[in-house]
Amino acid sequence: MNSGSSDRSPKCFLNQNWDRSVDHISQFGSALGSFMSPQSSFELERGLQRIGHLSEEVPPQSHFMDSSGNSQALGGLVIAGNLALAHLDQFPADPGFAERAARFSSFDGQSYGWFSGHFELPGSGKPSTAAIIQSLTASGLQIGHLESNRQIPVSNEQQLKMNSAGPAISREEMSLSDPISASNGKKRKAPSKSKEKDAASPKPSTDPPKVADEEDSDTKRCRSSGKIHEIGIDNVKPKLEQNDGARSNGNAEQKQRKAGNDKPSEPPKDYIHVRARRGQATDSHSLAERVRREKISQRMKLLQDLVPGCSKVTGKAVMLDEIINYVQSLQRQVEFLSMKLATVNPQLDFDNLANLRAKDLIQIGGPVPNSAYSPEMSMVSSYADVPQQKDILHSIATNAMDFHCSMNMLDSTGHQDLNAHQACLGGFGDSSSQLGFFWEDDLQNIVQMGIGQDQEIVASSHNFHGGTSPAAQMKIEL
Amino acid sequence: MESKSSDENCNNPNSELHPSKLIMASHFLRALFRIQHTTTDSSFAGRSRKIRRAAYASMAYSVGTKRAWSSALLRKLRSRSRLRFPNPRRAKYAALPGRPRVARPQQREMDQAEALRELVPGGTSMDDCRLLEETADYIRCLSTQVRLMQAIMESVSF
Repeated sequence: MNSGSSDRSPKCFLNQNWDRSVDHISQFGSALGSFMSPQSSFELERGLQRIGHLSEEVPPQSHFMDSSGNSQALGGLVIAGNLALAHLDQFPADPGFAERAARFSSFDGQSYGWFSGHFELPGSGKPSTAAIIQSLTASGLQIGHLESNRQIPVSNEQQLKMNSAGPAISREEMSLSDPISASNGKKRKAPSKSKEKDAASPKPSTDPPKVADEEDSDTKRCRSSGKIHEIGIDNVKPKLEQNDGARSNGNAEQKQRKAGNDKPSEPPKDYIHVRARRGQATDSHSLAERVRREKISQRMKLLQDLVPGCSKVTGKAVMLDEIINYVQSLQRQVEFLSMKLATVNPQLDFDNLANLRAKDLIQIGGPVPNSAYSPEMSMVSSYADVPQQKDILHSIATNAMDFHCSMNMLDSTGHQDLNAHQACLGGFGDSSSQLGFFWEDDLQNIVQMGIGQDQEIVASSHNFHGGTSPAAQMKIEL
Repeated sequence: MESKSSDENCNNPNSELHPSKLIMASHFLRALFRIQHTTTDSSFAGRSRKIRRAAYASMAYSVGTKRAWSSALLRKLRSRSRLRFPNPRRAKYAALPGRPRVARPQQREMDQAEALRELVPGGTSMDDCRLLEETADYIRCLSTQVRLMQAIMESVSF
């Protein structure tokens, strides 16, 4: 199942592995899909299906690949993989997988042998994104080389890929971290392609052992460099310094290494730990910006739930407009309702109000919490010491649940009889099912209607300024 | 209904505890009663203004000083009530939310965040992140208050 030994002939290996690899492709897709959102896994599946379609054409041709077809397949895989990676969440570094990925990138004799080996990963748990990128970059490089240099023998291609993959991988690994956005995925492809072009000059070197050595150090460096841009994370590997001397390819990776070496020196403080995203700047300012932006987006999501009718709206500007409109409408409603209450105020009398108190409270949408009962009763009793009130008090008490002691916040009103009432009501733990027993029938209707009333209230609030009689309208909509 | 008792205060699991709707109701009703008893002969406009102020006051009072907007609102209300007697004309400087303002000579087009800052009490001295948080809480309380007032209207007009 591995990419195999170096002395297998390319053609038959390719043929016999292609079918297997297609299965592994689907496994790969499903494995990745398990980490990803459905959309991205779908994209990956599509990409893989493309490869699958192409694979059907390939095996009949028993030569070394219609490389255009397979480069397309690889291109599809790379694209799909990039899309997949674009949605990948944080992956822990899996040393085993890194090793496997390293093996996959050892292009010893089989251009597509790495396919079969690569797709072992379903069983390996979460692959490190570093390794995935490494392998995919390798495949991307493979494509480039296949398209450009078909005449070059495979071994030369391997070396090419290794050499060009080295700096490309190192650059990408170093800027890699766990959350990868779609835009970063695009950026990832571009550097890899540019690296391909840079390293397109063929270098004759065909030693598989050398390739193996390079790939081993590559994996080490990939694993360690994958953590370079973790700010505030305390496990920045010092291996990076060890590998510095081992690799000497390209200026780009040295520059990246230097930038990376600055990171470990940053002291891990008690901040919110932020990981730099791939392809984005990593200075503290932009990272703080990103933290801030994420917080803002988080809060916008909260607001989206609050404001009705904003679930489909995406985008900060439209959302803000909606929020502003909603707040304005709520304030207008308050004003309008206060005007209406001013007109009906003389009709407010205690009996009427106290009787309907429970109805109101249920209508507001909450249950009958206890903490507000006593202040209410104290309020009622303080205003009118009528025996009827005591009856109502008792009735409310029988339906009350356990009492909290959150009257403290209302103590400022200074109701001394609060404690007395609290004492007589303290032991009642009846459920609200008794509510129906005591109150009239229409209350039950209101309860049933009132529970799911939020939508109606919102609808009625929108109709407030329609000009029709609001009271009648509220009744109707209730 | 019993099942709601566990999450009555957690309208949003991400937010802090919301003041009980009944607490807000009790405050508001108390204020209403006070208004009804003390100002039986005042004009309709005056009464409606008082009721509106009572609505905001009870809302802010229920929340307490936990949130920035409620503290700002309380401060505004208290300063307004203090200024009222010395000079009634100064009241318009501390405009309550929702009151139509005098047309400002400055530019009408403003940033959305600025518009939101003006709507939410105390919003002018907040950064965007905090502003959104306060807006969410403010919306919650405002909608509760509106529902409460509607319920009262409902019960009175039966």
